[in-house]
Amino acid sequence: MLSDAIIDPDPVRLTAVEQGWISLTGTGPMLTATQRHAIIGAARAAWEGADAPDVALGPAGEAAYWMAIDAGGVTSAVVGDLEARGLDRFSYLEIVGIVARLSNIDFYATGLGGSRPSLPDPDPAAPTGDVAAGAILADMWVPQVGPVRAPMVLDALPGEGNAFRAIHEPMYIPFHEIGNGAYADVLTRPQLEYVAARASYLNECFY
Amino acid sequence: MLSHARFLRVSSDANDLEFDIGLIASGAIPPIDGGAALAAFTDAITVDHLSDLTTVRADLVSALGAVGAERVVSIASTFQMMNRALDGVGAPVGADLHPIAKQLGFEPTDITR
Repeated sequence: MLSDAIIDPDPVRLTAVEQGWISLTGTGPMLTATQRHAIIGAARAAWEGADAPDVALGPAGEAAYWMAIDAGGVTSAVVGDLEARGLDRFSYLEIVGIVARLSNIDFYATGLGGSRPSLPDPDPAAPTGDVAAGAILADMWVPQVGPVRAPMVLDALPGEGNAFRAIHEPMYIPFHEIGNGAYADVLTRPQLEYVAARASYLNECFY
Repeated sequence: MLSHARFLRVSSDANDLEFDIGLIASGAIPPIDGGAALAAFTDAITVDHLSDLTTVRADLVSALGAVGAERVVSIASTFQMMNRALDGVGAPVGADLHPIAKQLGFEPTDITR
């Protein structure tokens, strides 16, 4: 992966991306690998300029489409409407996680000047059904486990939550350094946080 | 945005850097090393990662070196993930961030999460 990139990926981040792609394209807790591939295809189609969701994918395709191009425009009412049309909240949460992690991998690839990874043949296994015991609807539109903290928002689906953090930490900063304003690596913390804040502003993500 | 605006303020203080966080919204060049190239790249990839990034990428490498540029790409791409995840799940914005929201020109009551 990324062998054609103009800028070489950091080895640790390359490993995280490669592992992330394997988990992203494999079987999920609520969706089969084939269904996850369809979500990835729907998100990529949206980025490539599709002017509407693929109706053949139903509410799942709508969720993927809007998550790709206008996640900030999604509302509680939108999620409720998707649920009313058959997309349960755990499946919706899985789709959120798929498109989110896909964004990280695809934007990293194109940002470095490389090709986006290609989908493997789908694993035929059935969904794992791995859902956190005790996950409840409380402060968010999806089930949660414990208080809302950014790296833990997918934890109602434990495998998805773990995969989310497995790419988040090497791509951002070590979790134990988050409170350290003096943290620096090849860039200073203000350089890192400017990029984070500016990208979030452009995406209209207030969190 | 608001959490990282706060991190930006805290880290600027820790680095003895005067940084007007209003620059996050205005898009003006930030007062950090490679600021112009870093801002241009962040904007370009966030708005359309499939656009031709050749020029902004080359400018970023010129300003920060290839290793620094890779680091910018890693952060910019990670916040595509985080933004979508947090918006998708409807993660609530804490009231403690409302003053920063006002500084950036937003009315906290307009934030629906």
